[in-house]
Order: sequence, then structure tokens, then C-alpha cells
Amino acid sequence: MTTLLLVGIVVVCFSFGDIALARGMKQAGEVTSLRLAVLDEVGGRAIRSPFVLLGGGLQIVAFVTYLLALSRRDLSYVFPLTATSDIVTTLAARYMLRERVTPTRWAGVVIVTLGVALISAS
Amino acid sequence: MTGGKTIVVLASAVLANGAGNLALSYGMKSVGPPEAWTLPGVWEVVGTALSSVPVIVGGLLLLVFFALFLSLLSSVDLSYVLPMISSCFVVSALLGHFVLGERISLARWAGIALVSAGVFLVGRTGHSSDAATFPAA
Repeated sequence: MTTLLLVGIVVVCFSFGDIALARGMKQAGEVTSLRLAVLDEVGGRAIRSPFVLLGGGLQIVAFVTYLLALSRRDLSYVFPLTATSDIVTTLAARYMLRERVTPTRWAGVVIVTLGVALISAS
Repeated sequence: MTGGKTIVVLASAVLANGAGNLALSYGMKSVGPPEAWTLPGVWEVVGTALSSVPVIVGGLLLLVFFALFLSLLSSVDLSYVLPMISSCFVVSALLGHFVLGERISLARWAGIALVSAGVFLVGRTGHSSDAATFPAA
């Protein structure tokens, strides 16, 4: 039971962490090329963005909670459950970031999630 | 980001992730597990790991991966990047099999096939929601 609660925290923090990172990076500006000057400029804005910092913080919370869950149960039990975060993230991207998620993309996300769960469960 | 550039950055991110995990796995095997799961025991392993060249290279490659991931998010849909990045699982599994000689079970091959099929499907969708139809909130 406690493990499931920990997994729930991992999924929520991981998904909303990604949402915050995506929102922050869209505001920081497009990385138009991998030249040092561009990376320096966008990177400088990124590490001052509240959304990027929030996203990074949530990812760290997710990772620590993930390690706690792993200390209680096997990786092959914990990891397939955390794979559901891709589906939560896609839903959040659709409604919070207003991304257009076509039926094809949905099908792909679900199939990838099943595959990731299968790889890590076996 | 143009479609071609997106694919190149995506592929670099997946390769950096695969190579990083490979280096970490290889390095940590020679570092070995802690003698006891106590704070001093774990601390000793961390110390040894941080002086291992493969572990340092692996850590740096994962940092490169994260920077490339953020670069993608600066212009491409999260709901596109996330499933595409899952090809990391396929690349890591194949590298583990062919480079480190790890055994891959039938169920895991099936999972690899599913992930590849899903990545192929997502890859067919446009990588960025139309800015004109979906103005930034």
C-alpha cells in the first residue's frame, strides 16, 4: 500500500515536472542551434525561469521518492508502475500545455508505455 | 526547430543516454556493491565511483542527454518528445545485449518490439502543435 502511494507521488512529480520544464523552456526561447553562444543565452534564461526550476525540483523529488520505493519493492514491480507517468504527462500536455494529441499519437504513447512496462517487468 | 534538426537532436539524445547508461553500468560493475548498506559503506562506494573514468564519462553523457532534452522542449511538443525518448529503452537493452553480453528474455524482446512500434507511430505525427491554431497560453 505504502509502495503504491510512493509510486503515485513519483508519477505525479515526474509528470508535472516535465510539464513545468516544457512550459519554462518554451518561454526561455528556442534553442535554434547548438552553438555555444545560443546555448549560453537560452541556458542563462532557463536557469532563471521559475518553471524550469520548479520542474527540476519536482524531478529531484520524483527521483528520491523512486529510490525510496525501490528500497521497499523489486525494480520489476516498481518500474512498470512508474511507466504510467507517460500517459499522465500526455493528458497534462493536452489540457495544460494545449498540445494537439492526435489519435495516432495517443496510440503510440499507449503502445510505448506497454512496451516499457513489459521490458522492465521481465 | 525544423523536422530534420529535431530528429538529429532526438537521435543524439537517445545515443547519449544509451552510451551513458552503458558506461555507468560497466563502471559500477567494476566498482562493486557496498560491503554493507550503511552510510560509511555507501559513502565508500560513492568515493570509488567518482574516481572511476567510465562512471564520470557516463555521468557527463547523461548531463549531455538532459541538456539535449531541454533543447527539444524549447520548441517541440512534450507529448511528442516523451514517447520518442522511450527508444532509449530499446537502445540501452540492445547495447547491454551486444556490448555487455546481457541475456534478453523473450518477453523483453516483445517489449522492445512494442516500444519500437509505438515510437514509429508517434514519429509519424507532427512534432509541434501549430502555433497559429494553438496560441501560447
